[in-house]
Amino acid sequence: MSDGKPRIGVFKYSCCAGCEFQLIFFQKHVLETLGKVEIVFCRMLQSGGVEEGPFDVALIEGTITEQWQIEQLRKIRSVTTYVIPIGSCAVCGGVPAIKNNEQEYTIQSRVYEDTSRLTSIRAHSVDQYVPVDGYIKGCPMGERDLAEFVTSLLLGKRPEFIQYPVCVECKLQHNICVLVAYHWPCMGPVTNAGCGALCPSHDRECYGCWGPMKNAHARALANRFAKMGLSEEDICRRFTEFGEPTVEWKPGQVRRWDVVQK
Amino acid sequence: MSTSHSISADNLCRWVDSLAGRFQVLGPVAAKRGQNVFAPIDNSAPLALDYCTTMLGPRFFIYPSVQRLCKIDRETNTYMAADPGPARTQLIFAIHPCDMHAISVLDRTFLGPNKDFYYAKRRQETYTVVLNCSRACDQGFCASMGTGPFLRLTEGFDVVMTALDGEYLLEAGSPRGQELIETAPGLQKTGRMRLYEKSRLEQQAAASFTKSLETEGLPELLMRTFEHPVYKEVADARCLGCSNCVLVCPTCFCYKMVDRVDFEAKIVERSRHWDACQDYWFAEVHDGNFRQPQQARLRQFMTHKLCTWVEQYGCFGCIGCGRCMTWCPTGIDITEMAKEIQRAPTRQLELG
Repeated sequence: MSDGKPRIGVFKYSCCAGCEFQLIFFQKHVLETLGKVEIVFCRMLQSGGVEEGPFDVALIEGTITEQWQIEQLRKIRSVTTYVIPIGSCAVCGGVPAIKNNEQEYTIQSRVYEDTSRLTSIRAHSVDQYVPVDGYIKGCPMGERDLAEFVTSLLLGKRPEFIQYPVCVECKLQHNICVLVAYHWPCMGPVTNAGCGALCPSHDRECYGCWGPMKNAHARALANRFAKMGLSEEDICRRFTEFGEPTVEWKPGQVRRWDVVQK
Repeated sequence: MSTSHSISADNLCRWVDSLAGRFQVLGPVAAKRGQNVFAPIDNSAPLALDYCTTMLGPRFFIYPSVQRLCKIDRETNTYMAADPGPARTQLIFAIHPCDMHAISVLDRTFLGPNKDFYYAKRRQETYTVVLNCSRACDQGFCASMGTGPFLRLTEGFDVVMTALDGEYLLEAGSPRGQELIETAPGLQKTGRMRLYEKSRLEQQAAASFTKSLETEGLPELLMRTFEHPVYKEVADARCLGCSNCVLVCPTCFCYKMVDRVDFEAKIVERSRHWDACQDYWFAEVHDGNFRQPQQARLRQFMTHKLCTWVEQYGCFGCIGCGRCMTWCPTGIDITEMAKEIQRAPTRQLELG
């Protein structure tokens, strides 16, 4: 931070660009705050910019699905102090990582007639390739975590990201538990909080868009879903809707999860 | 205890209507799909007096799930307390005895040697009217914990009601409760016969429980069997670490401080949120986490309620409402875990 203003670069890979929109929306909210930082590179916000850095903070959005992205990511890492993946795609694979559950060619030929020009690789999160310094989770990224990060950066303190399951926020809102009371297949117990229990507050079950909570016990929840009468396919689908096979959700994603249990 | 009175069901409704003029009345009402919740009411119409249990006990009116504590303005160097307490004096109507006991357990924490200003204020401004249970609930075992089905407290509450064939018996637990009763319309003095009927009803209700827990010598036993394999077995097979048990428990008191700085970094707001020992990061301290495995966190919950609480506050931390097992997504039952330890206290973990 040479002249006191943190230099920020925003990079987008395979995703819907919703997180970058969220950032811009956020800027509209509090113009003064982002006036205190210098946005060096952000394609959606301004043309040009310095892609080579150096940056104090690099916000990475999207899943890594091509070789050139890995190379660029490594370059960014080498010139950046804090690399922060933003949004579920960059944090845990997100929606693009659904394709990891089937053979690459099967998926490709389902979408494209001619697959000969495709160069895409398996979809992985940012931290599979470079070390990262924190995560701003959410789909799109949560405003609370983003605000916490920006204020922490300005105050020079360590940001405190949310690390508990959706259930905690849901209870703080006094919602009746939809999993226990109504037997809806809610992913709340294994999903990271931050959304303010949005879905359970609006009378539907959580579908896990914020990605896995640290240390979640997916197998126990998959067992519970099975007892409720969900088929293996359905259970697998719930655990693969958002996120690649992370260590937390993998046990729920394996099709024959009851075999894994033994 | 002063003389008791009886009141007809109609007059009870009229009494609640008149109380709603003086207080913010909070009572059990029907929610979506057959659930009950405690909510503010303006008159007696939405009251569901035959409710069985609610997901959250009425503790959150006294100890809110999110409470703003103070606000600091760095520009003007001013400090202000942000929680002014309830806007009107509250009256919680028809609390079941287990929940009333839970509030008295919370009192030992917050009104003990380290008095909590915010709790004390809300507690003082809250009237409590208890409704004794005439039947057992599915998951409750309050008869074993000595907290039900009829209220066994002698102080700390204002009025206790008992439903006796269409009528309600009212007894005061405090001078201000006595005052409340005197405002009720159509009061009748009751004789000894009614009290006899009440004690018979209590015996009937106590006998209808299906769940029980042998508490004799339990704290000592749990203290001796910290390494019992039941914790690991249950944690590995079922415990999600989702904290539902802790958040619905009416005696849990842990909170975390949450500071929010505005984007200008000028105004800092401090609030406290209910915290949960089942969260992974709860026991994270400098250089590590002293309850890393789920079994350690599960054991913390169970042994705190049934063992170390006794040492800490002189009573059990569990009031036998059964909420932790009802609202556990995988149905973990602490009474069954305790029974397994009582059955085979020296069992070792089988390897392989």
